[in-house]
Amino acid sequence: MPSVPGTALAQVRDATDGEVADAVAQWCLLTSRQSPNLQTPLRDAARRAIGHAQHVGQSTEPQVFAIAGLVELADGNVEDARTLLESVATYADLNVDARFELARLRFAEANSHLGASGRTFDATQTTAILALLDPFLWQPPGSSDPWN
Amino acid sequence: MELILQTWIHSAKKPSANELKTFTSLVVLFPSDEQLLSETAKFCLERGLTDEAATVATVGYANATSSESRQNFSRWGGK
Repeated sequence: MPSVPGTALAQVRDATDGEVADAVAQWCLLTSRQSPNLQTPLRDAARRAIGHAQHVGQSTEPQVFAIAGLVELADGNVEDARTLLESVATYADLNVDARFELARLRFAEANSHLGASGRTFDATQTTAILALLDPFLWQPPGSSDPWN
Repeated sequence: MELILQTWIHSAKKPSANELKTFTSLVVLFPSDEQLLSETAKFCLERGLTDEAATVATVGYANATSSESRQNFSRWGGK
């Protein structure tokens, strides 16, 4: 089959349990933001998809922990969300929402320690926040896609 | 964008001129975000990047929703 120059033919394969859970849970979260009266059942559905991947599929894929963190955050469970998101913070293909929300949580924590004393974030705190956001600013086109 | 800017504002470690130039080139893509534009223009001025401040302030000036805001952007180099 002729191909377009500069492109590769897509390789089709079955999605992993983690990828299915990620896709289902992301859809549930997105839809729940648009439909406030359906938030509870949609988040429950997201949890079921994540639980199925983790317990039935034995998935340890990072994107499952990331989406689980976002579901906890949407439910207001900030500490659980932080734990889950921190566990995958160094994952290169962490999705954009997880990156932003974890950066926001780290900023809030660093900011809460400043008080009114006029002190500033130290280099470690600054790097911890910006490392999550940097790819959106400095990553050259064509490298790993932060908008996955 | 706002989170990156706020981190820089609160940090002892400031961005390089190149980083700030890249940042301002993206900030102007959000012309309706007055707060982001005004904080970026002020931050650029504090860092001595008057041209970048003026570029951002000009976008803010063109899209300002109040005369007070327009005056501020004008003060930061917008026209």
